Amino acid sequence: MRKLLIKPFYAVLLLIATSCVDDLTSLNVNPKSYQSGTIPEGPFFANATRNLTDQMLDGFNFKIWSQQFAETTYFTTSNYTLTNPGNGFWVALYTGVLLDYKESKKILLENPSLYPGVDNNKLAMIEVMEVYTYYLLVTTFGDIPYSGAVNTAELISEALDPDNTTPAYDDGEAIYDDLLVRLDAAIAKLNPGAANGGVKGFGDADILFNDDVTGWVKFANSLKLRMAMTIADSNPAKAKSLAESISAANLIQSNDENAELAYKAVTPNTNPVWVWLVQSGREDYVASNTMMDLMKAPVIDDPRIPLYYTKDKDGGYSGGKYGTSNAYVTFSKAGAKVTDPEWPGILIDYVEVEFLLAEAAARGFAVTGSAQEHYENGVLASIDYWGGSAVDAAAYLGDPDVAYATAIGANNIQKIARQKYIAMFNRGFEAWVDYRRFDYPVFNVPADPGGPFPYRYSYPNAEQTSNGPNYTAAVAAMGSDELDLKLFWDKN
Amino acid sequence: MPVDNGTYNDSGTGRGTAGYDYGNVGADVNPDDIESTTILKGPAATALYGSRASNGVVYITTKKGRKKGVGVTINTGLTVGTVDKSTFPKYQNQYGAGYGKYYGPTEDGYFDQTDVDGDGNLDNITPTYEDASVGAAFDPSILVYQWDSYGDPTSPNYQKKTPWLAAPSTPVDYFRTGLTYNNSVVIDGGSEKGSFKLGYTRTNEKGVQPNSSLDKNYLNFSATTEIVKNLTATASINFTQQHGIGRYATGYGGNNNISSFREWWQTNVDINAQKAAYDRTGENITWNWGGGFPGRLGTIYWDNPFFAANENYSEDSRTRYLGYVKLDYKITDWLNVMGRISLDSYSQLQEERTAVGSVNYPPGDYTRRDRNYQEYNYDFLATAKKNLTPDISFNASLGTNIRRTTVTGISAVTNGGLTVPGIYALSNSINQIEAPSELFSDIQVNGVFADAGIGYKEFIFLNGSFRRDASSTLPKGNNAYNYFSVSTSFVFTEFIAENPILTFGKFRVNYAEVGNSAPFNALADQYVKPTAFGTSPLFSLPGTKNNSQLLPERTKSFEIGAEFTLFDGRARFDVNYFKSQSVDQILPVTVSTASGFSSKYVNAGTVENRGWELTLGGTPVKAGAFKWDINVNWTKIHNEVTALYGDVTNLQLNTFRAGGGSSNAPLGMPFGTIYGTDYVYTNGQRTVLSNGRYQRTTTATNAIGNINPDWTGGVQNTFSYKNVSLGFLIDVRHGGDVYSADMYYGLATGLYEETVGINELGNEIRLPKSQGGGILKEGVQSDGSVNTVRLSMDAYPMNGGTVNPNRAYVYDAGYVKLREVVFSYSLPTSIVSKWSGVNSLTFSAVGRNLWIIHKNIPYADPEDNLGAGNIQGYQVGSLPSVRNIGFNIKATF
Repeated sequence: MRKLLIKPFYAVLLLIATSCVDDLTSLNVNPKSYQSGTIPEGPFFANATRNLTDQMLDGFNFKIWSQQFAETTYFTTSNYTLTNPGNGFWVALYTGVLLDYKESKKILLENPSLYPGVDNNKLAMIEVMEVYTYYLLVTTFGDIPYSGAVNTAELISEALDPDNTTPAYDDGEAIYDDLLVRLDAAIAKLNPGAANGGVKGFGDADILFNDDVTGWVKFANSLKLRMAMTIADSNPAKAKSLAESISAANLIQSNDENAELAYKAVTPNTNPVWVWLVQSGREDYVASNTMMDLMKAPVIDDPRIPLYYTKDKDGGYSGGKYGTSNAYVTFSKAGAKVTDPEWPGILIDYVEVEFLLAEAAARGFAVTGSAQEHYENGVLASIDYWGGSAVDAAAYLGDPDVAYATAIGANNIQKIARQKYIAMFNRGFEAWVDYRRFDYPVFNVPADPGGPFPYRYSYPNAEQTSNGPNYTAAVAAMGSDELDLKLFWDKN
Repeated sequence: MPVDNGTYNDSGTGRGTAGYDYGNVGADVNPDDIESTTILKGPAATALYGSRASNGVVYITTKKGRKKGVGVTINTGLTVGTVDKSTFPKYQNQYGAGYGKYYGPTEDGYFDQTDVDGDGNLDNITPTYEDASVGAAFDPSILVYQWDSYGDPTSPNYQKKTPWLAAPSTPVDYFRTGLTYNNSVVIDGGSEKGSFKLGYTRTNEKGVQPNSSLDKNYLNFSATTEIVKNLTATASINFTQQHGIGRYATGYGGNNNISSFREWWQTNVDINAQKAAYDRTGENITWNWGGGFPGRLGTIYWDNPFFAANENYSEDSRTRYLGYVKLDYKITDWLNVMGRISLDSYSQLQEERTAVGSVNYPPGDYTRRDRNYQEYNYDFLATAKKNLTPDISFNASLGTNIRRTTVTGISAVTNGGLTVPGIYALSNSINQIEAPSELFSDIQVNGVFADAGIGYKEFIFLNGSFRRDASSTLPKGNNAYNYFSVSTSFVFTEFIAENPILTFGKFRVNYAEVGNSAPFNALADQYVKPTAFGTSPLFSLPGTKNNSQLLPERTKSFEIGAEFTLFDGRARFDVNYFKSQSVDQILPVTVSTASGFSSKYVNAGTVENRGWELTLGGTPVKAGAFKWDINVNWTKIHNEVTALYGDVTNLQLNTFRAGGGSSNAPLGMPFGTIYGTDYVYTNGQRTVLSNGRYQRTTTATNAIGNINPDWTGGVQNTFSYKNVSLGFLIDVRHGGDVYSADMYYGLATGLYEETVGINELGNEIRLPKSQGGGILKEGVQSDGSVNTVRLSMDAYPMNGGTVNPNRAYVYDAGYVKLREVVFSYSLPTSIVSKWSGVNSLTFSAVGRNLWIIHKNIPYADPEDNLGAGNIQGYQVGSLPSVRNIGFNIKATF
């Protein structure tokens, strides 16, 4: 009897022993997840590109600092009372943009197709987008952790390497030079003739140009022109030779060729400005008096006023006082176009290219066309882009305050800067870079500033806590981590 | 058997953004079925319980069926809860709505102005859209159109001007009296062959916040029977069903009314009038109308708090089965074997609603999260117990445990709003919903363990244990780990002649290690799939980098102690020194985002805790039937991060919303060091800027606080006389810091008493500086001279927010609390025995958290922290503490 009864215990033991799976660790896989090696490069490229465009529109710091908008109750951004302002931009660009471009490139290199020309087009497109993104970081922060350097002798930091969670910082100007080398190489690599069947590059995943390689060539050259003009004060000789090396035919030549992303009607792929201003239900921003007064200065009101902003309480157009509290109901607000869920986000457009060329010509660089032609093209194209009529545009350009010869501004650069400033509405980043370069038009000063005007972002607080020694070294190299530290290209 | 005690809150709850606190599922054990609860501290006793016990074990012994006959126990109780007002804001009552002098036609007044009544004169209108109290001084002669003057034709003040006065009722009246009913019946019985127990408990809890309730039903049955001689079968099943409504929101934002009451409020708003407005209309008649009179009527930042509580609430339900089947066989007198299979299984549903017209998301939305949890444990244990000689006792056990835990779930949310208001269903989404996210986790740990002990007479004991676990969540080939413990104790009084002073004395020493494995799926990298961009699919890398090189983590602990009993038990003394190290802790640590990732799984480092625990107990008075017992305990722990991985010198644990401070684990400093901006000192004095504000450091890595207390202690007194006993417990915590986002904002928005008063010139501080207002901050100007520049107090952010460095919002979290008072009375047997069938009848009254005798943080409970996660030392939207007084009657038959 006893033996009989012990048997169940042996049976239980046996059961326990055999219920062990052969390889216990094989359980540690989530069958719902996408494993490395199962996804092609395109979706990462598309995701990074969407995230990058979001950053050009997202948040309102840049739009506020360039005084396109003023604030209502909480005016801490516009009076420069800032706590850790650069964190979001930094995190989004490294983790949401650069990392996915890197993954896209990695997958592509590990899985080459039978069409090296198409693969090269893809690699070149990734390279252009990385250069674009690092341009944003360098012109915002200064020295930064960097990856993909050509000049590996001087540039030693290796960002985007998860095995190195404390990346060093490289010198901003050295990175800038490296980016220009990379951009030239990428331009040379782009080949509109290469094709795999009908596909020339990323196909459907090319959400900017819908697989039009020529569009990429123009985008890349336009970026090069922008990068040339950004250093026009700090390194005029280099700016000149770069600008003169670009063929006019390789630049964006009409609004149809813009590098822009058309957003979708439905979340989560809507225009971020719609998310911020409409979906949120908040009432944080009104038009700024700086921008509004500038647009009303000529004899004829700028035809873009009703396209940029809504009517104010009294049926006219007015901006709130920059840098202090404003009543939301009183003033004009962001207009119907920029708050449309499908309104596109621009990376570089024809309008910007024309103003860059105007500036180049005005500086005496040997570019095709005169400063005046490019200036007029820029103004007309901008009004056209926003939906203004050709008649209104012509009339506006005829206003003596706008006509190039007599336009407001102490010199040609200021004339161009003033009209470019108006045209860069909703493109706070570009407007902020331009203000730092031109120090014009004259901005309003907050009544009770909480700090200096920001000439850069200070590094995220998390870099102090998680990357302390490298942060400290970078600050020592830069001289300071203050917001009013001027970066290497910001001279005069 | 192990019971899962995980928390399943919104991901935001642990971070301090808004979310709901759904509590801990360990709370599913029927409180009326608990015989005793023992805390097994540290890893010393963990060979039997395995890795999950590395932080200690809460060992709950449930009641057993009686040996003979059938008995019935009935218990009924009522607990009343009220908010402790010392843990809630006291508002200033001199100034009302506004952010400064920004309103009116020329934007330099305290009121908006329009001719509302058409009499040709401008009328004053409250800037309802401003959620602060830096506005006009209260003055009954000023008549103002206020929030209740429009938007609601049923309002008693509709289209009427009312005097500008501080509200008679403040947000403390938002809270109501909480009530908890608890009823249970247990029937148990037994014979020589076995026993059984059947219990049912029902608790109904009505919380102190509006529209909050939690109802639970517990049903448990267990039975034991001897099938044949020496073979006993036991089976047990616990069934729990619970339903919660309106779980308390935590953190910052629209869900948590408390964050409005503490940070963003108008002192002219009468909370009872807000309640009346919601009760009257059922609509979002908020005090915080959007801009313009009589323009837009939407909510700008905050809903009517009663609308928010009653319309935007969470609802959750959980059905849980806990059960086991066990066979015990007594092979010989000294050898037993046991086999057991147990199951812990529950399914739960959490639903969250946002009503159409709510500020959080005006189009409305609905989220549901379904989760299924199953854990099976297969145990086998052989136990031997034998006296080898009359002087030498021996015991040993050998066992195996297989634990398999599977969690699956799905969560989905509407997209773009609700088509039909008031219907909370996924199908009611305006846009097509995004793909629901699926949750999956599957973990198995196989363990074998043995332990053996030997004792000589009654004075020396030696024990050792060993365990080996193999875990599914560690890298293949490196997924098994061993750990062990040794302990010894020595009753030295056996060597001392019996004496009237030292009755009993014992030394003890033990050392233990426990290994632990990784969370599910922390090794291999996977991609995440955002919603496609039109027809273009999107993929991305996740924010957390996994790590295929993880090693098991390990906790090592050493303890040495002694206990003494003096004067025949009248005095007791226990002293303990301990040192424990958590080595190779597996954590998703925050890393530089320039690495491309926000966090990475690593074996993060070593945290050491060492300290002393003292317990003093005694019976100072024992006279006849009267007895006074006292028990004092004191603990001091020194905590230090002694190693970090790689060349990393700090782990950032969390960032604080207000002002950019953070909680950290820096090398060589305590785990939980608060970093932030500090004052800039000139000649040792705080530097004041030319605008009267303190200069703040640009660096955010100044150690400005430490969450760990210097020491904690408690005093328990119990007085008993015959069948009456009265006890009270005082708890003390000395030191430790907390960062208050509530004060950061509340001082900036002019809510608290600190924001009004008289300055050194004898003027109201809220007057403009040009009229002699403002305050002088203590310190020096940058040239070292004593500060003479006053800080203006007539506009936001006054003396809060960024006016001061983070250090200004770090408060001492020490306290002295009357934690508990217990009174109980059992009817004397002489009376009870006259009633046929009644065995005993006991009345008791228990008061908890009755009085905070001393604290240093204003308007809040220093113990309050966010509900979950690694975040301590941070208060945001802090819930006030609740005083509970309960009455209970227990009868056995």
